[in-house]
Amino acid sequence: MRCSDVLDGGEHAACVDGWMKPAKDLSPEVRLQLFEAALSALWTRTQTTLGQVTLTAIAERVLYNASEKYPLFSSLTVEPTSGIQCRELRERVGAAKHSELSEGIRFVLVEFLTVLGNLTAEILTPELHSQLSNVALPGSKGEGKGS
Amino acid sequence: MRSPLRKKKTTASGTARTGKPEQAHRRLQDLFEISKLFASFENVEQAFDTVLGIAARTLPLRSAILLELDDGRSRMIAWHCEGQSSETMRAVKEHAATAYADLIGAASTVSLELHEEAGKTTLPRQGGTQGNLAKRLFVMPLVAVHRPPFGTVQLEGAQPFDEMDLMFANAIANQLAVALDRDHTWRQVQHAARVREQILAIVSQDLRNPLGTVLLEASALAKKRAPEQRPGEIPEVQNIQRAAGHMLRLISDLLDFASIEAGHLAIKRKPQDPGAMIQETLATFESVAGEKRLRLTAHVEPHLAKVDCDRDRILQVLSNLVGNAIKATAPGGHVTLRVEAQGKDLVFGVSDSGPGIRAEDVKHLFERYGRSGQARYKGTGLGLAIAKGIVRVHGGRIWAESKPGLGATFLFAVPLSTVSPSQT
Repeated sequence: MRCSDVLDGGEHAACVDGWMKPAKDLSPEVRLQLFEAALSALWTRTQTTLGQVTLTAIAERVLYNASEKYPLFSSLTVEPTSGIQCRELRERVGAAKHSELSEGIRFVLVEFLTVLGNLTAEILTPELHSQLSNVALPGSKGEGKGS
Repeated sequence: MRSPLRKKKTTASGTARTGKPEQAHRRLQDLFEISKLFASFENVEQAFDTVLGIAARTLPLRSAILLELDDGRSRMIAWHCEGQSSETMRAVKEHAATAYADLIGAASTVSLELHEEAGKTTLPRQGGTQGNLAKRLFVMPLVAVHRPPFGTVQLEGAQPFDEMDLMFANAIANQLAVALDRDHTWRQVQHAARVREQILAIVSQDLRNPLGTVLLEASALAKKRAPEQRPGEIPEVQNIQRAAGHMLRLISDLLDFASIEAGHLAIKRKPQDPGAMIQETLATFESVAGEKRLRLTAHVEPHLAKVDCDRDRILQVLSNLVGNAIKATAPGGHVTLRVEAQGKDLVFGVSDSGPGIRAEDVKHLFERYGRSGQARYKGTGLGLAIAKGIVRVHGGRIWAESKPGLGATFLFAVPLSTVSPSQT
């Protein structure tokens, strides 16, 4: 049994699915841009409470799990000050399969929220869900309104 | 985004637990007390026993579980409050083990082979619980910079926690992680020192002894020369003797350096005549200098007082400096030794007419493996570091002066003893 199995991750999956739905027709490059913005928002909010070192350890575990399931995401790295970095993935995203990118993005976000939720008694969950819902591309329809 | 520090939340029990200045003040005092405990206790786990008692003043703790990975083994220490049921403790332990296994990347909780211990103290009795277990459990990874997670601390509350509780608990976990990491590093350093001692014992005994036999046998072999050969004319034997002698010097250098690094270099001080030491060094290197067509001279200040030092060790420093100077100087050049009193010190110097040393190299010369970038001869890179160690043990200092193209001068000063010339 893994930590993420202790609690039901359904709530997090529903939040991530809702956020991803309007992005399903976007190009891989734009979807990756949104993913990076989502990671940045989650990182910034969580860092305030947990600190860089703890959050880095949690994020590295999430990325390890992600890279086992989605090799495309094995190039993601964690930098203590700036969070999860997607530089290499950005270069390869054009050639990536649509489904692998979408599923990988979903997995990382759900896993990140689930692991954090399980470790912190879901204290941060409402605010993290709210942060994620507010992530949208500049000028897009849903910006700042949530999904 | 609203600051979590300003957030005020009412718990299920109806008590406003966060945002209260008095609670924040109390927790600040508690964190100060906790930091002192971790700084002063030798046994971190023992300190954590006391720390939990402090944390329980403002956190309604029902249980706490520390899981730690040390030397490949996982250990669980569990604390519970008075009246905690064994059934709840089982569920709490399972949650802790699962989160721990996931964070350290173990395949399963079974693979951990957990060694379980009970915490020494019992936490204060708590009233009934409110909210489901998952909402009353924090798990904080124990992490340190440059090291993967090596443990977790899980806290179970009687009521659901809030963000201020999380920050407080996380601050404690961070201090615990630093203390455990320091403890771990200390044990590693101790272990490394023991391993080094063992290696040195092997080097000094198991390598030096057979080498002595090689030299002895080679010497005997040299004597069994063919009638037409003169002593020392068997090239193979000479090669063996040269190589074995070189190896012996390397071993001695390594042992000296290790002693200096460990602060164990012993010296036997006796009043010594500085001029005699200079003359002895001169005599040792006369033939080598002659072979290279170098002029080897010495200047000894008259009527110098005796110096309280270890004669063999000072000769070792002088030999190193003169040996280097001879190697660095081209045929036809000169090497000069000198000794003179300067204030309360006796200053020895070795100058050469070699190519000199660049300024950026001079400052690293006395570090281990620190050689001039222009050096054309081979060495262990330990000689000058050893020389520095020997001079320092005498309470002195060593330095070099050089300008590229104008040769180099190595100097070392040792405090003059109170022994006057008349006491000789």
